[in-house]
Amino acid sequence: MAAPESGDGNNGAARMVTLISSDNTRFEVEAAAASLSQTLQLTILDGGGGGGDGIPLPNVDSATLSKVLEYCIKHAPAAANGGAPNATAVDRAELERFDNEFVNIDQSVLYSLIMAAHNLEIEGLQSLVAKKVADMIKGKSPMEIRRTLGFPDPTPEEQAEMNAHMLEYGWAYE
Amino acid sequence: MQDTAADSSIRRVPATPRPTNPGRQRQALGRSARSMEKTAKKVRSQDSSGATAAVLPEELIAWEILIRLRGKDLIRCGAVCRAWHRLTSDPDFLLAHHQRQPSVPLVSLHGKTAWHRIDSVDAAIDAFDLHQRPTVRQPVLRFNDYSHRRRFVVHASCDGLILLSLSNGRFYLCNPATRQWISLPKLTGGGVAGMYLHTASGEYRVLYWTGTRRSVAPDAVYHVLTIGSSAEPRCIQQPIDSPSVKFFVASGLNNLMFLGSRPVLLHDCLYWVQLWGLETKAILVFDTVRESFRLMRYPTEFHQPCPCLLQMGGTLGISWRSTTMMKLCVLQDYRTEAWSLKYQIEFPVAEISGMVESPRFSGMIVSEDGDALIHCSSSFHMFHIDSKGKLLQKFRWDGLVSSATGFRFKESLFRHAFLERPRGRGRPRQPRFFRGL
Repeated sequence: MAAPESGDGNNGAARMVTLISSDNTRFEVEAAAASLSQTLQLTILDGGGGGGDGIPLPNVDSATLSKVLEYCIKHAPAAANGGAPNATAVDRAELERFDNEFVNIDQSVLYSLIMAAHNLEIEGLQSLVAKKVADMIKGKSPMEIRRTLGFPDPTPEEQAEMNAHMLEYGWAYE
Repeated sequence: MQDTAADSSIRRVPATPRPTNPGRQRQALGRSARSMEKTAKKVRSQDSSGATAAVLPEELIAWEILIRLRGKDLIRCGAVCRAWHRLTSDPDFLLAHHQRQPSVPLVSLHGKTAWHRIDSVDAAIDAFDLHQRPTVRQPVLRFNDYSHRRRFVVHASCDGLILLSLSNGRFYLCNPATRQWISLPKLTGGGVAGMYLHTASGEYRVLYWTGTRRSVAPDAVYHVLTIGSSAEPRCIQQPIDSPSVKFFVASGLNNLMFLGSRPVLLHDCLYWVQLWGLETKAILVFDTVRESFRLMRYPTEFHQPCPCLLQMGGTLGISWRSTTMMKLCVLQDYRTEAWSLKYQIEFPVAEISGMVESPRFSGMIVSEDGDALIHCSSSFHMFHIDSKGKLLQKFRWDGLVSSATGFRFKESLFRHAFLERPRGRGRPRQPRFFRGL
């Protein structure tokens, strides 16, 4: 599995960096992809992450990091084009299709992803996942939202407050 | 450019026992580590009642997820738990939410005959979200306006508030997102020039005039009404920067020169473009800080019939239309008053002609991207075209006359004190502007 550190691009230009997850798994990835993270970009610009060293990410486990990198690698070419003004409609459609499938995952994974995206400052990923969670809330009643997000059942006082709100804003529940 | 196939580019390297962590990396990552600590603390500090997800920090839920919800969805979230209730009542959050909302053009719909009604009302205002595909039409107001001789008029749309007058001549201020409304009886009998946020005081103010009707030598007197203030409107006479302005403001702003011209609010000024009459055209400006009128050069070099002002990305735009095309130019430089052509849009005449009989087009550029809404006076259609003249969507309302108001609307759930009604006995009666919504 392990490939030469020098990278295998035909002009040898793809600089690789190593990221180390909280459970000590090492991921080697192109610097361009990792740089979608504002946090990592700083480190990489500073010369970090290359060679035998790695950038430790003590708050991201390997399952989440692998998912995060899947996103970064897919989006890196478009990001390199500065938001891809010259991207074809096909490219954009392909990214959209990828994004839709990408967030079609378990809620717990979504939560880990949004935390990781938040901490690594990957704006696109963060808004992609946040939008997905927001979509899960749309059109639902407060009770359904609580269940969807795994909140415990409301206490009697909370239930009373909920009912009062529903009475006051009845039109928002129609 | 590297070809980065998703799977092959991640290479898992077996963990090695040498923990390499040079100081400079730790430094750069410090930011992320700190924010982790911060968010972790937030989870723990949550109140036991709501336990807003044991998984996600409250701040992330609020500012990343809930802020993306629109109107009713966000209001319903206020009932989910105490933390969310606090959040959805927090003025800072609601203002930030408002800032994120798209600015969408408002279209008015009038029932041509009494039996043609939309959801049991004969008057409506809809917002068209042109960024969505297909275009999403959102109901904003639904009410009865009864009269067949006069129609309701939208006078202003400012920060989610809509100022309109009905056929009975009365003025109302509504926030469709919170379903709040008040009447503004002091405006009755006056002519509304525009509404604006007075930035220094944070007050919403209405500029209006009185005293021109049936007058041989019209001499309008202008007033400023502060919304929510119990004080009488303040009379500012006829404030002009130079004698040349007097001609334009003397008979009020619904005189023939400005009839149908909708004000644009930009950089603390209200702007109107002269629609009719006179070879030398003008743009009239009311400075809301200095409270006086002045004139601005009209770009004669681009002139065509039917000029219409609009806001284009922080500057002024003017669009013109003929029966087959529209064009738009934008103000490049406030100081030199230089304008430049931005869009020239040919109507898809052939395509539309196949759909409606004897089409006579009129239309309006309504978005910053140069999207336009055009309608045909002979039929009950409206068409959404993009800045290249491509037909994107067709709307049809039987018996309803639709027209773009020239105003845009940006939803706001912010609860202004002046719209709050005292909590009375029993349920508040259903406001008249939201029937069937």
